[in-house]
Amino acid sequence: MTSPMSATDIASSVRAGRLHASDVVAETLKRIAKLDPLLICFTNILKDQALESAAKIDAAVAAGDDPGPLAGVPFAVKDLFDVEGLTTTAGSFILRDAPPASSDAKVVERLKAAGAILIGTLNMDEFAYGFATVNMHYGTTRNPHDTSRLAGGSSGGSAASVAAGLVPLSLGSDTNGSVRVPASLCGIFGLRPTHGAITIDGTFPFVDRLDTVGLFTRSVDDLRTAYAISSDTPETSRAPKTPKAGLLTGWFQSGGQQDVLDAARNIFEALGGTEEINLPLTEAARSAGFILTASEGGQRHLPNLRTRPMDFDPAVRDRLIAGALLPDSVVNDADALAAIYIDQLLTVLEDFDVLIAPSTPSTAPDIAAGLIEIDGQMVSARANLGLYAQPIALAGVPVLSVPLKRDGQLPVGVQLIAARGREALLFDLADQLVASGRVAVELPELVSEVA
Amino acid sequence: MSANHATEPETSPIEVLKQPETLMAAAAALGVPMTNEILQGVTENLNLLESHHAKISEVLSPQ
Repeated sequence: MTSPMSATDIASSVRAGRLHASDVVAETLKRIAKLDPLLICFTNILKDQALESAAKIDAAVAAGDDPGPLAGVPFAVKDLFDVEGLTTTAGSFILRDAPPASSDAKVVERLKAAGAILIGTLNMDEFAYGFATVNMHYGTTRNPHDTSRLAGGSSGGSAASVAAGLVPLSLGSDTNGSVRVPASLCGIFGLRPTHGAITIDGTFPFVDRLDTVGLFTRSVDDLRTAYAISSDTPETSRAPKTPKAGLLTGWFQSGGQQDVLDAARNIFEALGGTEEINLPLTEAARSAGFILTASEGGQRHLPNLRTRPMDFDPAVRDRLIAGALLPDSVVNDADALAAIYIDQLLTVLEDFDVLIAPSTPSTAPDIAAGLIEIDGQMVSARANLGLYAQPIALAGVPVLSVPLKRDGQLPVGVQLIAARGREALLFDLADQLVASGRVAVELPELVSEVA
Repeated sequence: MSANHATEPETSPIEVLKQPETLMAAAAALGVPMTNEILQGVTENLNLLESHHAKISEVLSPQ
């Protein structure tokens, strides 16, 4: 087995006729067969359809046609994206018997139209409510860098499958941090684009005002290419030679593991940043996000909470019921606070190209304990890994979690935060950081063991 | 507002909701069954939500 290839390398080789898409898919399926029983990333593997699609791509190339910029690129999607013919479970038992989707989610359609080949669907926290991908129905997704540790969530299968080299590209969703958290713990790139930049059409919802389709890759080029194809509003704002970078302090530089906090400072320095910014309302904003999520999530699931409460994961069910019970005055307060914070954050982003903060408060926690240390207290990883990701989500701005180069230590990511619509600037900055040697995706040892 | 009112801490709406009778009535109104197991889990989550609301109230309350 060879080393995993990037999406852009696969596509250029397939388009040039140097590589057959059928061989790429065969290799992908072999890799999944070896590693997925250990990692528990996939909930469905579409072997026959993938081989059939690959054959069509190869036939197109042989006929002199161009199958598209993602020709032959295997990809997989969190199990909340509709896939024609499959039931969208959103990680739940409750939806397991729902009718299969009659068409693909719009973004899946776009990637397929560009030549990408859908390999399967991926594990997640039930109804995307958690930061751990501990799923009582489909299993706990394991971190490819240390299989005794969490991959993070809720898009844990999406992150772990890319980190382990099973696929070069996957789709996830980020409501409060569900792309950035697992990207950080698994050591890959994870993009939460501007809210609404990638259509959510055909995805199972959680919190409308926050739900954002995101992308996972092992390279910046792959991210740039996949984003251009997936998004509704591709844009071209480039990073200035000397970007104005600000380090978010206060809430974002307290509570977490020291080397993780230092990672953000490291990236800040690498980008030549000089100014530190404290947004004093961040802790309250995180609380607002927590309340708004519980409330809207609870209301959304009320029909099943009434009739099938015992079919939920109890930890998810009780959070949802508590949220559904919240008095309007509490939700209104959260709304008011969120509005003030969003205004403050957007105002700061008028003066800075990029703001920097850690993606997670710790490296990947142990699965058995399920805890992380915050300010000396051991707290639930499932609820708190999004401590630094959640407040930013409120503003709907694009955030790219980049993996710090750590030379064999557990991975950790840093959030690069820009004003709405400035994804291309984030890609340019990520390129600069890769070139400087501060940011790198390191393949887990188990990948070389199967190579 | 009188001086007395200003020094009395206001009872939070979630504190009120958590009173067993109120909570059972609210769950019944919502149509959600409340077994002992669910009650315990929901109460724990309401405690957490209450602490989050307190952080928001601290900011929003006039000083």
